[in-house]
Amino acid sequence: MKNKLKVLRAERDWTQAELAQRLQVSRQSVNAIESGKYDPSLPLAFRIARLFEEPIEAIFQDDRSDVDP
Amino acid sequence: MGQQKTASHRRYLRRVWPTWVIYLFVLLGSKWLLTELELAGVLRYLVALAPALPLVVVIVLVGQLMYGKEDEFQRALWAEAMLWGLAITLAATTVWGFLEIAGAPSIRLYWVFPFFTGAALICVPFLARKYT
Repeated sequence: MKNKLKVLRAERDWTQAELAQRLQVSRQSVNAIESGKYDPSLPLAFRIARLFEEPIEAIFQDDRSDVDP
Repeated sequence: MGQQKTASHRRYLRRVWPTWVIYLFVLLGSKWLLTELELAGVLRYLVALAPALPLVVVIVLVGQLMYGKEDEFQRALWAEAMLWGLAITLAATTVWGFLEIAGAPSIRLYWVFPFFTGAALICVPFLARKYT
């Protein structure tokens, strides 16, 4: 799953550690999510969306299109 | 790995180290009693069983740690490491079981838990590198 967490973090001039602290997760978590190697759970995705005041779908984009609506 | 220790991890360490110390003393005591005294019947079984109890407590503490981990990524990482550890342990013990038929030395079952722990721990840095 693609995401623009890195861009949003850079816009606010936060380090990974600062973002991790705000989300109450480890820095490794932020790094893994940013690099797209780990997809966060729905509750964590909502926390991220609330923190950046954006809808979830504006932050996370599903790179699979094999499921019909 | 330089990972920050969370409250649940610190709580786990506070509990697990005394449990390991208790295990060591119970193990030595049990071994001494079984070799030095002529124990028989139920008492012999109870003395032989005693070192297993602290190890069961360690397994429970690891379970509590997994459920209590505040960081879902760390929990997923450790869960995957344990799955790999389980796969390695199942493969190794199955292979060794068949080798025993051919005359390989018999290994006591109590080695399965430390083997599994070691196998899972070895997997953690590889998985951490994969995800970060």
